[in-house]
Amino acid sequence: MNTTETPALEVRGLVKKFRKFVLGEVSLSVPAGSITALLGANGAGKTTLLNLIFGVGAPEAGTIRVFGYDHFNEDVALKRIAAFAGPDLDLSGWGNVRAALDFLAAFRPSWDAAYEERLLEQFALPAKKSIRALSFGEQTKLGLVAAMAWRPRLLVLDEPTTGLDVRARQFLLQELLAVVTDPNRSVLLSSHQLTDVERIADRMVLLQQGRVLLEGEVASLLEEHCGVQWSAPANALFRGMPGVLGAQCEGNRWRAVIRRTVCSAQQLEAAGATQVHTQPVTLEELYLAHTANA
Amino acid sequence: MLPNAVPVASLLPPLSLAAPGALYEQIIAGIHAALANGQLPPGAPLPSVRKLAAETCVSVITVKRAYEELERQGLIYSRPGLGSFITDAALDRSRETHRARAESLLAEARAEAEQAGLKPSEIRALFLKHLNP
Repeated sequence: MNTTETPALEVRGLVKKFRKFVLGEVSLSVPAGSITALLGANGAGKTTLLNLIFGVGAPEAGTIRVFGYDHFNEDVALKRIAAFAGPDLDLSGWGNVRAALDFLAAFRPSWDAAYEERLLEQFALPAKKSIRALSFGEQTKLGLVAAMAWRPRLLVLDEPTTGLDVRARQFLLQELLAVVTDPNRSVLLSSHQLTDVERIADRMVLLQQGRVLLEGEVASLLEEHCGVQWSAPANALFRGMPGVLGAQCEGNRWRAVIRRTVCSAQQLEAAGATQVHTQPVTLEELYLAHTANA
Repeated sequence: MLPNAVPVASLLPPLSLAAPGALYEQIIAGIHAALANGQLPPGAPLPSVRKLAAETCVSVITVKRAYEELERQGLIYSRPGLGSFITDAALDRSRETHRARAESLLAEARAEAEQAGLKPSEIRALFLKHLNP
């Protein structure tokens, strides 16, 4: 990925304070031509962060730039190239699906009516269906069509696969990969579907309690870690060892994920572990191990 | 006018997180197999990284890794602005890779047989049985 290009999204030193929750300080970057996944538990700050990009709420500190456009001073230019779809989108005042999309299309010179048709067809979303009668999954689909049909350069999707049926989910994943066949377009999505993320995302950002816990290329992060099982007394001091994440013990059998740049099977053995076995990790195991420790 | 890229996606096995090996390793293995079958002749152009990613429903990084590794193995070469192509020596390089892997698997098989307590003559008989089924 060419890092000399302007990033699709650049967040620097972002802080947003609520009475009971603080987001930040957060810095992250989404390269052009990539799919980046924003991960984290409910309440980690994912939606707050995504909303801030589109000017929902004013941050206490920091900058957000989309392809170089400042989200505060150049918000009109930003909204011309970036689209958002999330569960809160309410189009119920617009009658049926077609009427709502026609209304939105009028604001977007690049709206592709043929692509809109294809999206509706593939999502099996009837154009004449009343918006009030849409199921949760169908509302999600409508939001996705509205965001995708004008081919924005940055597509920001808050939990886009939640409530989608299997076929629609598969179609969406393929379409998102089709988006980044253009190296000038990017996708940022939040998701709890870690197998989807493992498959299609180039990069991931893991948020916890408003801060970035882990960020990087998905494939590199998976390679940097491995799952380990070993035998040792239950009272052994493995939990505090650097690079040992989410250590659990049942009987005298231990399980953990280790960061291979910091820790190794040899180091575990030196600390008293026997019968050490290692295996590759899945993104889900990586996620659980990292979030268990903090 | 360049010839059309070989429809590599249709030559690859379905890429799955449930299948053995990382996704990029599955792509590499699939290219090796297509080479051995003669479906990828020398000079054949490959689809761009982004196109193959979209066609196989895996991340761009995954395909990029596979291409980089295949380039390191000498199976493909890339020309900036033109794309990636199968090298003239790809079949030989692929055979070398397979030969090295076969040798290490045989060594592994021997170690396994020794652990099972088999005598050298019994191990030899076992190997011969698989050579002449």
